[in-house]
Amino acid sequence: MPAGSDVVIKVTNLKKYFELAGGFLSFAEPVYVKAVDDVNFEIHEGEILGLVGESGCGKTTTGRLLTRLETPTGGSVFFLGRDIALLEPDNLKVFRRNIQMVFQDPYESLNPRTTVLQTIIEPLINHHIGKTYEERIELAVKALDDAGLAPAREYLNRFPHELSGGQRQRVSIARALVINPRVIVADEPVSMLDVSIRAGVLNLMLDLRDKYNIPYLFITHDIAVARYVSDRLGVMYLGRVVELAETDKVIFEPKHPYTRALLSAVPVPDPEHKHGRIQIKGEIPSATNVPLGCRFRPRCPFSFSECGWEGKDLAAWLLEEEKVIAPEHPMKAHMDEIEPNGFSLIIKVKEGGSAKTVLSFIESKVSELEDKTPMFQAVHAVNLVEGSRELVLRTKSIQVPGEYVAKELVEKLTASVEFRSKGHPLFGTIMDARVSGPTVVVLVGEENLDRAEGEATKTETTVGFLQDFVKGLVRGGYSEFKGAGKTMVGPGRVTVTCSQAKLTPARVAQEAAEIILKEMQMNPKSAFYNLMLMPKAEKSSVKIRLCSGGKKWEEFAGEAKGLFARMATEGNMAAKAVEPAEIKEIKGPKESVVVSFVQTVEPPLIDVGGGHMVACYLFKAPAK
Amino acid sequence: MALIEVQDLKVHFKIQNGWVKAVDGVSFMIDAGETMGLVGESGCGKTTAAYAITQLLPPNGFVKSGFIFFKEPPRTRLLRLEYDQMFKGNPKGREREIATMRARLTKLLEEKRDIKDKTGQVKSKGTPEQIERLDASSAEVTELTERLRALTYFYDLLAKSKLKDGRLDDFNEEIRKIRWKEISMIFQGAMNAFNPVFRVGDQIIEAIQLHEDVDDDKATERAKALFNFVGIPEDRITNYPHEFSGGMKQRAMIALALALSPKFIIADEPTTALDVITQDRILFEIRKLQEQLKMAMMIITHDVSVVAEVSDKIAVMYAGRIMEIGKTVQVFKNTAHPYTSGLLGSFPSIEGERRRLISIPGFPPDLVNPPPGCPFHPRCGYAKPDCSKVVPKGIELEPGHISYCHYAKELQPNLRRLGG
Repeated sequence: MPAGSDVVIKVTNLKKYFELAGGFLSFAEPVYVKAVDDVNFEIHEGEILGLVGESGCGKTTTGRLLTRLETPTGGSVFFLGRDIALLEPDNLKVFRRNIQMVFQDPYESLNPRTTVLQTIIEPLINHHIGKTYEERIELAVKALDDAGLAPAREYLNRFPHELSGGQRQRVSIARALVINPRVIVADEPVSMLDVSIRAGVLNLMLDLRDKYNIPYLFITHDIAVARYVSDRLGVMYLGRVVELAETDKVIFEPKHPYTRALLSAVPVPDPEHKHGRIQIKGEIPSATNVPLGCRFRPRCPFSFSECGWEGKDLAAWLLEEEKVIAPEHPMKAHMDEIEPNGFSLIIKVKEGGSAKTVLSFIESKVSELEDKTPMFQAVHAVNLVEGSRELVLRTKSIQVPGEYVAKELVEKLTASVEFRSKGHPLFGTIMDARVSGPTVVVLVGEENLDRAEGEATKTETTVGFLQDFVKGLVRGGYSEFKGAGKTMVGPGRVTVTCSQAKLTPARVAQEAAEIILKEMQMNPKSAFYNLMLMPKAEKSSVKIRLCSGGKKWEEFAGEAKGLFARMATEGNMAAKAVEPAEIKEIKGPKESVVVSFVQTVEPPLIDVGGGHMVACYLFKAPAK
Repeated sequence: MALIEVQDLKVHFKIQNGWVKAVDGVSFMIDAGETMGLVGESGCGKTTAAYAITQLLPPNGFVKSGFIFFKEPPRTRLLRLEYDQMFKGNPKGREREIATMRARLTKLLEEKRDIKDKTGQVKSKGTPEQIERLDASSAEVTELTERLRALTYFYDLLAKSKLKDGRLDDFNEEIRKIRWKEISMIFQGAMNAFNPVFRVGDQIIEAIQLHEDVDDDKATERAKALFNFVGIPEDRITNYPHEFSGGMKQRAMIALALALSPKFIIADEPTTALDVITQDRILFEIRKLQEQLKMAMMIITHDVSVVAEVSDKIAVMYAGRIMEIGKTVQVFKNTAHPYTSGLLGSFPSIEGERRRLISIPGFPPDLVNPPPGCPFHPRCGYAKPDCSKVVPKGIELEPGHISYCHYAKELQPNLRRLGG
């Protein structure tokens, strides 16, 4: 498919976290399964996009998010100018008419008590398509014909148990087709079918695409099947798309190490075929505990220092390779517990043990292995820390004026919707968004006068989108946008009025933690840069464990004060509500050695040339 | 010499409205150190064939005919199960059969002595006809002696273990000596093959101690060695099945199958529920068994690409019958049966050009009323009138490469095959 053709679905930063039940009366922090974690792709008109990955990589959840069978935790799915991630249940029905799904198991996805006709006619009744019963039967017959069940009339009164697996799946396809959807999401549609039947169903789906130009999202674990049907192919790993390109590029010129390993493991039906195998270590980690930095790094055979090493890796090395807990190891007498904390590892020193010995042991290992192991190359600092302290920033609530809320809204809008880029579905609809006092003015593109009957005007689309967007923000915990729902339509513009709001201490803490995190990762001049452990936002405070050797504790307090004062003068209201930092003693070992690694963000999915998207630091975008 | 030989095996299941002919006349043999892939779609009888070998059929499964030989030198350890006779269940008939065989044997022996005497008399090596006759009769004598011994042995066994309805007792002593000790299995769905309330290591130790008289320490040592062999850290021996990932359970299952160093392993869909990378690792373990332990294996799968990766020979089953059997390369590259060709043509591959898959029209037959003649004829593009009347006999195209199609020779050059 040509790359520039119409985008039907655009998925940006899509996230779905499932909260694991902590049990009744459990006060522990909730644990999240990050099933889908920042997924981006688009589906063009008439295109089949394949999505492959191992079980548990989030491909099925992605499909369910597209059909809104699940509500996303974050991100957006643009379809026909609406962000369907934000749709309220009332509006879902209209939308669902446009996206249909074909499920994996044709034995379970058809009701055993309804005939083929009842099954296929039900969506027509639900969506009020076809005026008379006869007309609906005609539509059903046509869909069955399209699905390759001929003569269609003979199948109308059969029950699912009278059909073979392949025929059932064809009925599922007919049920999806009958209401003329714009997109079909097919979740492992052939994995339950026998080999001799499978080819027929795959060919049917290809033929239907050619006939009606319907785009598909084709989800499968079978790479050979994905290669056969899809025009472009995305490879998912642990909730993220790590490579996305035209199918043959992914198959014959794989770039991401995971894709390469995956492809080298696919068996080939040729007894004389020789594999060039790429071995990868270990097993897929749990989605509750996704590695920091690049999520494939712990298993990657090509990992290097920039991939984002974390405390967990060093802990595993100490325990498994160096075997520090073995009785004969010299460090056994000195080391107590080791506690990974984000990009750092805290090695507690035993009472009676010598912290200096531990420090010099780690330092000697670092200098010894620096050139050999990428992990040691990524060590940023090894520090001896006396006592255990944390920096506490208390937060209070603050009233923010409408102007501030409006400014924030525009920022959020421009950050999450790239309506200025040509590929975006809202391109040409929303031209710009500006702040004007306590209101946000959104400029709407010129109306298309010869639009089809029933199609929404650009203004209507914009109003719908903005309302959904604000509701989505409120649902996402941004309580300050509660009073920002009122939209007004003017000539060529839509305005959103924002009223005064209150920032809760928890929201302030959240903002403050983000500010510090940014300093830690981005600003090399800051005292915080790379030197601390992860900030933790609580109900009315932000807490950061301090693990610095050289610097005095007070310096941090001063730095924090300066930072928030600066942010406040720049107009950040949240920064105003942060009280001066205090240093607090906390429970912990008297002495500890802290190893910290260079902090790295996850490699983004970037175009490395010719539309080949890869999320790996080994590949850089070509220079323009 | 063949390690296991299956001859004309028929296994039918009794259901309410008749018999499901799950396995309907299957013959194959596997040599020591050889791996055979048994390929077919679901419901073609491949798993049933395997369960018949280890006598693990469900209560409604009846072996209607056939022999399963499990041989290893010396040949005195011959196990012969002639179920057909069992169904007749007429002791007099059996005695009569043995008596006829004895008479024939005596006759042969006399004849043999005669020829020998004659050649002795003329003080020469005898005429070529006489020599030929002598060779033939001695061969028959050997076979008859063996058959007689086996039959008497078998009837003894039968008297001990026969149930009223004619099936063999589940607690047939002879098969219990052989099952797991000599023939073990890697079951389909390793996820559920272990008992969830016992430690994995203990389940392996139990298997060892049931068959061999070893103390706990030795058995634990062996279990640890097995874990090491299949690539699980040996301290995981105390874990419960739920603490293992899917791939590890499959490895542990292989360790359990290896526990008594069997001669022959039947692997039933060993990689079906696994992810590609895990599947690749398990196939690597299987290759290790073949190369390091020279294990003979039968791998049952629906995935021809898995078979292509690990097996020496391959048997393609359809509707309870074997369609084509031969060395993997022969079957893949010189395909001689329309069904095999259809199967290979409907498999997508990540190698080579993307070409349109060709599906086989129709769907697999109902095994209660399988089509007469060749079971594949209703779906076969090359079917001729006699295909629906006569069950095809095997045509040997090359040594070891047999196709059960009337027109194998004529069709072979035209069939779509791998890379074609």
